[in-house]
Amino acid sequence: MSTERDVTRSVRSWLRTDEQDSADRVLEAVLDALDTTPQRRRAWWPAPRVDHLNAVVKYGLAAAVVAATVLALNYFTTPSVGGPAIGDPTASASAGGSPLSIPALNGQVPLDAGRYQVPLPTQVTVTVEVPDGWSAGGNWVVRGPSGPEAPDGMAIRFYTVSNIYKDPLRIDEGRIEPRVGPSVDDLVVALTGHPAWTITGVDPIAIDGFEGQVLHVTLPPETSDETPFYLFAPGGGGVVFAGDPDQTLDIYIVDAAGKRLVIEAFHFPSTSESDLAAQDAVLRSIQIEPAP
Amino acid sequence: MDTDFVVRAQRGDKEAYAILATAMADRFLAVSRRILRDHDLAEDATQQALLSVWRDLPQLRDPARFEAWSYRLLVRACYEEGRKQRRWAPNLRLIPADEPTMPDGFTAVVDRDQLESGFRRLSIDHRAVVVLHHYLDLPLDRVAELLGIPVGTVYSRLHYAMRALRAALDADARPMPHEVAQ
Repeated sequence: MSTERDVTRSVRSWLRTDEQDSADRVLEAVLDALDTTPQRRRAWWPAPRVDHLNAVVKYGLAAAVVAATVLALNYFTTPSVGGPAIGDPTASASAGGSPLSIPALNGQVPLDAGRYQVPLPTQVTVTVEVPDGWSAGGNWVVRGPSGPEAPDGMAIRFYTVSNIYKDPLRIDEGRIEPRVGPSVDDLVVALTGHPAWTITGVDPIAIDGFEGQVLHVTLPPETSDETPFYLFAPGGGGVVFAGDPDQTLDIYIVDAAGKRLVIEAFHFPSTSESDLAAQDAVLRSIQIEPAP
Repeated sequence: MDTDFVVRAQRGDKEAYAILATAMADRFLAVSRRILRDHDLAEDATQQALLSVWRDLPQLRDPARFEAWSYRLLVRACYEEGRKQRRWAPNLRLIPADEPTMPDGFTAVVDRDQLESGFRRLSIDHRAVVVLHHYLDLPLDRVAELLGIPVGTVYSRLHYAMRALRAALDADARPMPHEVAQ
């Protein structure tokens, strides 16, 4: 039984375990949006009060407003001198942007068609070609046109795996010990030998020339939103899980020059053939560049 | 926070606001990520909050209260994004959250999993109080001011949240669903 002090220490420690939050991308988007986001001005003078002012004051106020407007317009349309121009993408990018020309998936909802870099907590660069109408949901996921939900959605997730759970339906029981080894085979053996996992097939695959295995996975019937199936403890923290018993997952585990990468494509019974074909095309577009 | 920049930003000075936003953004993201347990939603909440701060800044009467006021807008944005999270929840929740880059010697891996699980059962109301108090180290009266609720409510939410997290840590004493739904 934990004491109150233990719990407080645990919570405070847990909340502080990752201090590496960088909001560069958000900041860039915010500064870009300022030009199209007008401020809500406070009503300095209630309207009825103007009725009691004499004509001279009215004209004076009107002139002041016009002058202030002209000054403000002049201020906002004149290039600034001596500092970065606000809303200038070039200035923002040089301050905190990616050195690569390929944009990252983060925070781009919906996506324009094109190639994007998948941020991953490993020194492997993964890029993916996404058609128009897809969207990004976070660091490691892209979604099809129907989104990721049942009955007809689908998505592709990218992550690394640090370990799996003793009982995927009861995360509180913790992770397996000893933890899963670092190779593709280590993870495949751990999953195929796990009594809670239902794996309907294992096939050799290659993604962008990097070899690995794909596991075809179905979820136990007791899986639900309230009792999700916790797939993995990913590298970089958090949890990866699924919450619908009809969800079918293809888990691609690839050896990217010594770094294990997991790419997961899932769908539902009513996902359309065209969406599945689009998902397959996105998977085939994946390019992997290991760290030099 | 330098109130001079706040006053300038209130008058529409975008460069002044850029300085304020730059100073706030990382911390906003850290707080929202801890409340929402989802990096993507946290980025959206941070963006919405920073734009709300800019949009509503002229209505802030006391520039000295800028920080508390801006956090209130952030928590409000977290509520909005939390609602989206529920819509997306059934089939896709991937949470790139807390994993130490180095062992901290105290929090065991199993504890983190249990805390993650327990914390995610809490409402956004309860999570916000825990994060503001235990992550930002704000005293309860400041948390109350920031959220615009009575101190007693803050205390009861914190007490309830910590009790639920304690139950999550004690596998044999997990809270019943009706308890966490309150």
